[in-house]
Amino acid sequence: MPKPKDMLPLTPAVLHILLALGDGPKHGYGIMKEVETITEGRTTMGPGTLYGSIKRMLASRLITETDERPASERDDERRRYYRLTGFGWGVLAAEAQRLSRLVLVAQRKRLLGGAEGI
Amino acid sequence: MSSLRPARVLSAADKAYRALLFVYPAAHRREYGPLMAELFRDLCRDAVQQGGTFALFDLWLRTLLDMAVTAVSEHLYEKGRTPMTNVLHTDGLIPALEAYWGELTGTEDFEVHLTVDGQVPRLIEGAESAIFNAVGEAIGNAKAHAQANNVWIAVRCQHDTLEVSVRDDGQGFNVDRVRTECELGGGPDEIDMSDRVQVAQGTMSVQSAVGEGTTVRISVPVAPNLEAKAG
Repeated sequence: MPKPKDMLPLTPAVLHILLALGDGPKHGYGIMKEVETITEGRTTMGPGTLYGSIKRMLASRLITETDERPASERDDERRRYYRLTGFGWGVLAAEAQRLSRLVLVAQRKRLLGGAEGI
Repeated sequence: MSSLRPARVLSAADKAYRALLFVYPAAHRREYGPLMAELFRDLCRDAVQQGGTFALFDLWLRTLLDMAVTAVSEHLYEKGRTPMTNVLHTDGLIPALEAYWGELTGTEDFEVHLTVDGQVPRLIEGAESAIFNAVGEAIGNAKAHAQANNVWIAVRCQHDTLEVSVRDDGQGFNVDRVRTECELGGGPDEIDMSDRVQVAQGTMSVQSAVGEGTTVRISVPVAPNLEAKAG
């Protein structure tokens, strides 16, 4: 079984899908809307990109289909819901750590928080 | 707010999605085809609510581009697979080894024998391809160096361990000398095979001596590599 760090760096699509599932199971449309919210509308995925990524993430055991459904008034029986696996959590955490280290480097180089002279 | 009625929006969405299948025809044959169509309908409803007809057209163009890119990407991914890796992917290790045995039989200077003992479960894709590729390397080495008359591939699954061995009756070699050459940057691919097998948390050993043939043994624990869906 690969280790989480073997999967890094993640593609933007995979990272955003993992983040979207970080707070609970969602179906495809829910994942897409959550990604838009997280990125303030700057990132949108088409149906092909979304389900192409979901297919590969299922094969890599980052996510799995789940029978867990939200409260019945929000549930849609036609939909397939997905959730993070334990391995998916590990990969997401590893990628978040990698990106946070990059942010620290950018801060040390005064590239964040209003660099002087710009 | 748009004046388009929901029923007309959905009807237009379905027609538009069918048009998009011209650039990505495989979508309707794929497991996710209906899910993509349903998602496109949702997006059309959103687009109409937010920006009317123009937003709908913009969505259609963006989805056209997205599906074209996905179609090309999947086509390149499938082209990168050989027929053998397709069998491995869809049917698993044993059918792939059987197909490989069939390909080798009658086309090589040596005879290939394949035996399978015990029930071999489907493993996760990474483990199956690691084992299959290691067997392929061992056969390739036998072909290139051994001058063998026979090669035996034996697969045995017992006590939660999968053991695969590749043995030939060829000329054999001095294992220690070759291992040293590998470490110095030359010689056959023992180190590559070992790396492959480690992906599946397995171990590999090579036994050989000049004039006594060569045996490559791969041992992989089954439990961590099982295909069973994660809980």
